[in-house]
Amino acid sequence: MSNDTETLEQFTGKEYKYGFTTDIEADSLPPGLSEDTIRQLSEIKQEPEYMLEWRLKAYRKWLTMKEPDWAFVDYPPINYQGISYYSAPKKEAQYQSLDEVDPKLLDTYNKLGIPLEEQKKLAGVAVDAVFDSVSIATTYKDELEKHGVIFCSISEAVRKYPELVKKYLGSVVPYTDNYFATLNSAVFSDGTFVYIPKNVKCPLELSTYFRINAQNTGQFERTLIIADEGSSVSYLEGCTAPMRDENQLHAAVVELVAHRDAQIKYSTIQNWYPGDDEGKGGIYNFVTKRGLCEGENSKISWTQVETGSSITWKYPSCILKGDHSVGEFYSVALTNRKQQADTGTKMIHIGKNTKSTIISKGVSAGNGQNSYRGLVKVLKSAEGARNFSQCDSMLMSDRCGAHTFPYIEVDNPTAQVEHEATTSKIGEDQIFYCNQRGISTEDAIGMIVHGFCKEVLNELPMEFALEARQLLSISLEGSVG
Amino acid sequence: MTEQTQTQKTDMAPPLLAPWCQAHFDTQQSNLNGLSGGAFSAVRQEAFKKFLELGFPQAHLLEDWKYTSLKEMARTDFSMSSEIEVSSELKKIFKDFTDFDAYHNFCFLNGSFVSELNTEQEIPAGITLCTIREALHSEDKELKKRFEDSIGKVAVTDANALVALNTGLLQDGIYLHVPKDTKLPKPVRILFAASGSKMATVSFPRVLVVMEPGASASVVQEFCSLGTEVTFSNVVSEFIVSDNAKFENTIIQEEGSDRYHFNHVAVQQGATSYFKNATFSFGGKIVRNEIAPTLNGSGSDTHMFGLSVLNGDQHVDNFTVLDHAVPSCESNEQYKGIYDDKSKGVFSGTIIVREDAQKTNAIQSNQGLLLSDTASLSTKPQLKIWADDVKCTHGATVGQIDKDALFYLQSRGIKKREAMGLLIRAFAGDITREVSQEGLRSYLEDAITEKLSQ
Repeated sequence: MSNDTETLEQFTGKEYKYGFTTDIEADSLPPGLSEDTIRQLSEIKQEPEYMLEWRLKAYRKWLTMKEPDWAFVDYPPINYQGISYYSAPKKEAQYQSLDEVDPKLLDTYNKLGIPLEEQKKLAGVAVDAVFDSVSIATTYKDELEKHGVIFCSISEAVRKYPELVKKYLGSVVPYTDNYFATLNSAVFSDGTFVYIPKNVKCPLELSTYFRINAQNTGQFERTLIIADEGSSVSYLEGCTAPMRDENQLHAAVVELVAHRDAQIKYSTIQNWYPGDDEGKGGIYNFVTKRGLCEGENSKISWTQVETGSSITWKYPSCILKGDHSVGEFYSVALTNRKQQADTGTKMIHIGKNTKSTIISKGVSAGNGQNSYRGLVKVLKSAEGARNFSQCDSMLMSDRCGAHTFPYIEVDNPTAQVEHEATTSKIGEDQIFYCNQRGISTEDAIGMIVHGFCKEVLNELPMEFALEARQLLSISLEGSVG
Repeated sequence: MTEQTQTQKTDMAPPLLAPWCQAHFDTQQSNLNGLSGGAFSAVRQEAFKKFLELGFPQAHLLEDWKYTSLKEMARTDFSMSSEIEVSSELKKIFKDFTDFDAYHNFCFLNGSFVSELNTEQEIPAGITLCTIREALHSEDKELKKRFEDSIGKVAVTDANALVALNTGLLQDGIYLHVPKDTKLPKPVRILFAASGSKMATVSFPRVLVVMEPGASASVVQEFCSLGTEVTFSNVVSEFIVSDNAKFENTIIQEEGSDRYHFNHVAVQQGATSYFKNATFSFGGKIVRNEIAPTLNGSGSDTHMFGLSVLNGDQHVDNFTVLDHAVPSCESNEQYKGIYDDKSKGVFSGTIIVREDAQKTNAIQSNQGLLLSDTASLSTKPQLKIWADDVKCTHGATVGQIDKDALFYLQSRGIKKREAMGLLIRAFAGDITREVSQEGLRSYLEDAITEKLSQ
């Protein structure tokens, strides 16, 4: 047992592997938030008038709102005036090839173990890497253009495709939605825009690597993905952030729209700085993610592996409006040290014969607090709706917590809704069994945790699954109390 | 992160109050003249003050009341009645109980004790079984002190406005004290009748049970309604189940479908104690059953069962908070509901496992059966776990009658209606089976069949 405890401390005490800061001069707005800041921001981004108006509307709404306090997390009040709302790497050039990219940047990615070069060659992934707030390198654009797929930064889309942006921006997450989404609507810095035309199967896995870099800069990403009738796309989002002392606010908004027969698969690996042993310095990750299954037979699938951030507040949701549409949510959330996660999903069944599946795996170690919070709502119109939810929690220390808050609201008797949840400790007898067969405790724990999360990890695209496994190992292996 | 089950939001509107609250409090104060200096009087005043601060729970302000609104109830002008008119109907309901003679029977009308229906009680020596009024006025100083020391100790008024209101306006009820290693051979059955004969009437009954170490007893609380006017029963039960003690409580709620009912059961359990509660809800317009056991001694065992059989536009909210405060306890919680017409079921069950409560084993399940297009169910099973060496599971399902099972029965020549009845009764059987008194079990099964045939 004492051996186990040692390994636990060894592993839970592991330094954040990706903690370094790249020294690139950033072009930032001074801290503070006012209508002027928003005007300035909009001007820097050379946005058309309609965008500025939308931002200002959101800002005015935000002033009247109150920060939500219902989540099962604790943090000191955020000073929204102390945040700089824009930061861009100074060399803002559109590169033709990777050779032209600032080598320091490339080096950063190399340290992260996800070099662009390799991705380009091996994985066949088009990478729109967001370094802080501005897209700096985009690959495989030609290939995508051939199929008519639009994959660009949202700032570019605002200028180049105003009709699409006007039509869809805020259509799933309106600017009045919630405190953090409204803030994002007012000050979003950059993000990704994807449009898949009718009957096109996107030839590549689309991927954006986010990276918060400049100190003291809130990052407000905005992602909008539209899959037109009969199309399909798989989108990957992965994040790491360098070590720093000040808490950083990240309030992103992701909107997905799937038309008739369209499919969107959205995968996330989130590994931002979780804070030091005292919980100091981690990222606040307050994200609004929502997908709308607009047409018949559409499908939206969320997969997330959440290992980072000091506080996670995130509920990727599906509105199942089209008949026979499908929503899926697969999640692994891991909290260690003083990390707190309040995450889950909402499945709103509106259309007939809509189906949803929720698989959530929570792993708590150290002083981590992990909450699943979810809603399954079956409206009167959702004849024959079907939901299955499973929320399992694994506890690794006697100081951590695992909590579940599922809400189920059923207004149609033909609906079939099932929810089950279990909470248990990592099996000592399983570890013992492995030990007996010459498998070290840490390897055994790795195996058990991977096994526990397998249902979710299997949903990830191949390249991501590998990284996810590695992340889990770094954060958890050996964590048994 | 607070553990309080009811946290009123800070920036709330003024508390929702009804004018009758203050008036009834003043009357109650003068009714209990001579007791004003007593220890209980202070508890009463403190509790009422708390209620005025909190006001009636409001659905839009309190997460715990999200699905149940008391707005309409609070608007009704309720009066309190001390008139005791023993109608033949009341007599019939009182006598018409299964195995009548096998119980210690008590009857309360609108919260006041009906002495006319009191039968000679043969109570084993050492056991106290009396009305709360008797306990408060008792010549026996020790008994009085014992009562005053226990009342209000388990059902805390801090965050629960309706418990505070009950404590503040408490009329009468039953006080049961079973000394060390003693068994009360006959179960206690208490009939609480709510009668709105001339006007809307509110009542505040209370039950206090103290089980000394090794004691054992069981209680059945039955709620019925008379008259045509609306009634509101605000009931609080407090159970102290000491080490090795065994206690079983059954609540049968059969008030009319235009009545309001609030029921709070607070339990403190000692080491290796056993507590079982079963709540059956058949009636009421808006019914809220709360149960909050705290497991304070290791090795204790808690079982909670609930069944709602509803039709019309009835609304029953089962709200449970089970607090595992110490290691090595087991709990088993199972709530089921059958919802027809426009009825609505709510279930909110929280299991808390504190940091020290290692080796906890907790099971919770909630199953709902919707029989009509307009019935609905909202369920919220929650786990808050701070210990690691635990086994906790919860499950919730909502659905309709299994079509395959129905087809199977029909293909064997059983009429559809009959087959449905069979399946529904089997569904309910998981809960009725848990009632250990045999006569009561079949009484409940009959009540279910009758309710389903409506």
